[in-house]
Amino acid sequence: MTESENAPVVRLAGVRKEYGGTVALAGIDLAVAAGEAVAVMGPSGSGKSTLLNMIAGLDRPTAGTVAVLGEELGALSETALARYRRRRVGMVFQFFHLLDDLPVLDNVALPAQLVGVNRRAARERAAGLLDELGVAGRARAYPSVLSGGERQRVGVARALMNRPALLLADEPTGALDSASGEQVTDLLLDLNQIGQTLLLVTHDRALAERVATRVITVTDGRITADRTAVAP
Amino acid sequence: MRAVWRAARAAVRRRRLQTLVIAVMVAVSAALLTLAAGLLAAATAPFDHAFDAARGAHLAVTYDARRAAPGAVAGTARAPGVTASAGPFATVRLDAVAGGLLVAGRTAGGGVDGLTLTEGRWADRPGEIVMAAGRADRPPPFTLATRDGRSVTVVGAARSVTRTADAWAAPGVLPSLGPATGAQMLYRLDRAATVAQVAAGRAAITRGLAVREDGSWLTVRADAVQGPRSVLPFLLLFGALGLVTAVLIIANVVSGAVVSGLRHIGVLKALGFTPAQVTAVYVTMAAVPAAAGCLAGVAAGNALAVVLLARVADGLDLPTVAGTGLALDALAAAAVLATVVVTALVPAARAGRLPAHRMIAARPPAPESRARRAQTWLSGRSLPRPVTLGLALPLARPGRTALTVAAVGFGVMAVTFAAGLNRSVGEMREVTDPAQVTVRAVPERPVPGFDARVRALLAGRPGTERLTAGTRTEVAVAGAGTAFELAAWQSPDLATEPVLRGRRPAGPGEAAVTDAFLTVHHHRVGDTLTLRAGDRTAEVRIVGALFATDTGRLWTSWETLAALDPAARPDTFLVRLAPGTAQTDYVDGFARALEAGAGLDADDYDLAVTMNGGHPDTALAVLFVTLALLISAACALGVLNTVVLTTRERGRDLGVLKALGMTPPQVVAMTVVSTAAIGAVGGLLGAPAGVALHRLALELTARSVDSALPGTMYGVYPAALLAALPAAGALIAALGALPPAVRAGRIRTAAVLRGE
Repeated sequence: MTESENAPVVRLAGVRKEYGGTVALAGIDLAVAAGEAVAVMGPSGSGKSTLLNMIAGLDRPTAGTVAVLGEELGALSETALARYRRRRVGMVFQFFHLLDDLPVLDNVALPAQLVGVNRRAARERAAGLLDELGVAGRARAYPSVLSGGERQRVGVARALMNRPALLLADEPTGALDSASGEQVTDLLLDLNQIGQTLLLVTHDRALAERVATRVITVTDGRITADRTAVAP
Repeated sequence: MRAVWRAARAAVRRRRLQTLVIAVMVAVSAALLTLAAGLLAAATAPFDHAFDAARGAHLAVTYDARRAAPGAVAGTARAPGVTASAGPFATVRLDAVAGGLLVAGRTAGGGVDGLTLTEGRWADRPGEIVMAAGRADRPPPFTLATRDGRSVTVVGAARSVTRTADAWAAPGVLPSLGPATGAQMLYRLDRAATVAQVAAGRAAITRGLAVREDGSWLTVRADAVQGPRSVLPFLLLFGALGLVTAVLIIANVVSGAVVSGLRHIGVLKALGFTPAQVTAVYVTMAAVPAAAGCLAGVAAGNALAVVLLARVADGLDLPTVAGTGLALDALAAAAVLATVVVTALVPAARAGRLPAHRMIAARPPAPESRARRAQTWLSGRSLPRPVTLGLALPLARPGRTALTVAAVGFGVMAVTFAAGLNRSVGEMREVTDPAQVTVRAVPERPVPGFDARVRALLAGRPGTERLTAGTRTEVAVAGAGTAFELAAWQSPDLATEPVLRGRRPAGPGEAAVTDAFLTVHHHRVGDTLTLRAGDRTAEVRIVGALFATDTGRLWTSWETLAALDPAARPDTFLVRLAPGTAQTDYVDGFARALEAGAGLDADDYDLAVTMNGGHPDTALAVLFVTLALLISAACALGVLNTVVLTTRERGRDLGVLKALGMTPPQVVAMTVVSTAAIGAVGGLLGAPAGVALHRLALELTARSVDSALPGTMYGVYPAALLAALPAAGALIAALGALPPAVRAGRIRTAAVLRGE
């Protein structure tokens, strides 16, 4: 095994984030290895989503470093960060954040088209993903007519479009009923089992214990617990 | 009321950018509206406005100082029908070599026929005068020779709305100019609308007194409106265009601000605000920045109007400086604020009636099927994805897009119109003034070979490109009138106006007239006219109609003129200068050559050298360009406002796109492309509309001057310009979209998505 294969996918060192006088993260050190499924838990306002945003390159730390696949995010320009997100990261949101103007297939194909993949190839891959996730029948529908569970499956398909090394999910079941939540949980579990590195922020202990291989608790901007998940 | 005020104040503070945009937009629109209104006021009956402003004299009478008793003259101020008067002012008849001047002993200002010093200073030392603006062919100071060998110094120029004298000097200075021969009284009458009324007033005032000369304001008025007639339609249409654009853009900005606040309105209603209070909050929210912008804009518009319209007034030889008055400013401000209130009131009142829960849940409207179809179609094009996303964006908000298309369309229309007018006015100068220098040399007594010697002198001057000689004489035209100016030139193409129909007179018995002459006197090309000068007559056939804005001129060949006036010799020389020759340098050089003794004895002739081109084209060009820029700026700001609203509404989508990897330049490209597409459509509509408006302006001009216009004035849009003008729409829109697009590219994705 080479050194690069052993290197963590995500490495945070002394990450601190302040908004005005408010401390959101108070010095986080964290490493996530390839293939891990890490659940970040904690009360509201503890800094979980801020931590996720740092790793996604959507926000910058006040101090400390964030590196993903060896790439130091603090050194990247806004444009380079956008490129980093396209290639390295897939994001799943609590409220799906699908574009209402586009049909499902185009929503899923969009990240590949932003990279420059031609429309036909992008749509073929998007159709394949929708098929894998069980929503192929909704490819031509617009998001507004989908159920919550279907929207989140589409959201996951979009996140996987560019084969990201890291899948980030922010409360992926938070806006779903229990049946839909179960479906999405199974989906994330399946993905991790085929090797997808996963970092999810959740309030849902059952989700964390079921999907994650490791559970981190954040309180007042600090990691207060870091343990292996207990299989349900 | 306090709750309304607090909520409005909080909303203004919270939406700083939008508040700033409203203030700036309203300021620019108010400036545009004020300038446009000033333009309309100046272009509508300019003489009448100037006459009222300067309290012009309806009647000016110069009494014979030797025969009319001073007390009796002063007493005429109390004659029936006189509402105000000034005088008596002593007058002197100054026999200058260039012509006689009536000099009145007055100071600047005055309650009737107020004098405005336009150049230099007032004449308050012996031997000095101030000349009527427009009479002198050069700026003061300069010296004027008199026939008795003395000289007077012209130290300034002044404008008299009723042109009651040719020159003025302070009363104490007048005796140094010569013995007073007259006493001038200026009257304002209670009834002076018609020639008969003025004549009746004159009869009542001057009864029993010896009058040397008198003048009615109606004569001056008829003369004054002649020149500006040809450009007034341009000014009127431009003013109207400015007004419409300003109102449209204010409506767009203010209604957009209200519509974008629906969610906030829902919250207010949930808190217990009544529909009326909600409406009041939003009207106040728009009115506060609008009032500030309006004040600044009206002030700026007024300042612009004073500078620009004064230049135009000077160029058109209007009798006084035109500008916007206090009443017009108040009207402009009221119109702006009324537009703001009405355009805020309508959507705010509508929003006030909507259920609160619907507004709290308000999101950007679900795209219509048409927009979705377009999006699907565009996604299949081989264009970068940000571009196709941008091109589809305008369809999501068809109403707002339509208003933006209209705003850009008006901007392009203004640019197109301004470009066309500028070229047409230039063409008008070119066709009516092909020669830049006119030399008029009239011998005091017959001097054999005089005209040939002047001609030779001019022909030898460096800078002379072409030269022609001719003369004018007064003739009567049977059935048309007695005071026509008949001109004959040796090279008619240089001297005469362009041919509209037929051809120029080429031989004996042929004449050309103005198109307006044909219209007014019901003649046509081919008709025969009988010309009379003294006891000689000549039959001429009309062979052509030429372009000129008056009806009082005819042209014949030299032979025909010589038949009517056998003593006529060429006394007027028109010089077309070689490119790059400065008029002033040429005229100075010619004067020096004459003084250096070019074989001409200065005592033998009267000489007047005129530099042509005193047309208002420069002043008008500045005005047109300023208005076009102002309208374009207002349109660009309107677009900016639309993009600010759109990017605010679509903040979540932008955040998602950035989270998915859209780079800031791609966000900018998408936003600019969406707006440039709107601009291109606006340009495609606005450019032909501008061309049509230009044509309309020319047709109104033609109707106003009773003459067709030369074709060159219409064909001012070269194909390249026509092709480029629609691109101006895309450019205006792209420039307007750029600042908010860059801002959109910089949005903090995490904050936007967290806010959702």
